[in-house]
Amino acid sequence: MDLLQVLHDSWFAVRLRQPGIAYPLLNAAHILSLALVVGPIAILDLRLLGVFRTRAIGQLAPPLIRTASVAAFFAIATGFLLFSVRPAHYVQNPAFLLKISLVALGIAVALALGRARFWRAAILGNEIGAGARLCAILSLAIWVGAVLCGRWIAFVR
Amino acid sequence: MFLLSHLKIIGPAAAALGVATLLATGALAHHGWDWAEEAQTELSGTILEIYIGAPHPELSIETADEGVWTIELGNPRATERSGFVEGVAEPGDSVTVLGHRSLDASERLMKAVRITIDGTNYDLYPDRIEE
Repeated sequence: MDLLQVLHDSWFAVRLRQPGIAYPLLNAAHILSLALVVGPIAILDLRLLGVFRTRAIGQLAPPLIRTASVAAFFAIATGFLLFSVRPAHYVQNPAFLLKISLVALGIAVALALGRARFWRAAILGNEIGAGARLCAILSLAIWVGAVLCGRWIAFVR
Repeated sequence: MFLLSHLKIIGPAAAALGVATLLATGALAHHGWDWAEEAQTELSGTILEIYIGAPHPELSIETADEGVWTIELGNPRATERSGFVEGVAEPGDSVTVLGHRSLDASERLMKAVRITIDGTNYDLYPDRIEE
């Protein structure tokens, strides 16, 4: 059985394809979610790179990380629903594939950093080394890239 | 410190670069008409694929001598209003499209104002049809 076809034929996909407010609302929910993923991550990364340096990173980091984590759940859920509308179309879209790869990489990097000693030293102990700064740049690049690729999905064929 | 003060601008710089790239690519499809030719032209072919629904209804058609074209229809509501709904056409049907071709000929992309299938007109943008 073709999983993409099953998804395409699901009741929610059928509902979302119909003209009306369901799709635009879902789209807006996805944008709001990703703003709350990328926004807090960007603030934390910029703090590691020296912006807002008068603010204690130990105070900033926990709410930012928690917001991004919860929002990531909603971004993935809304993204899955958006995908369900034209699954066979999107799996052939290079911008979509690159975006999914970047999101997976971004999440993997975030999870790995959460366990890394140098990162925890930076976040909790305010000992920001070159490694932490490099990872902050990497993180910014990944998430900005993911947003760009996401927007690009509508413009490649 | 010198390095740090430069690192600060990386986020905004990356975003600006992204916007610049976005603008440079030009053909932002779907919205407006500026990306397409001013002239209204016809294109005929056989339907390969039909997509009706959000985010954007479109057809893929095989023409006799211009290859495969993507035809952008109206937004979901406008497309429904034109009468072009699920079931009125299927792959293999002949279609004539009246619309505006993308300025970038390599895209093989047309934004339709009217499609005609089996003698029936589906007017996607009634106000724009030049007859």
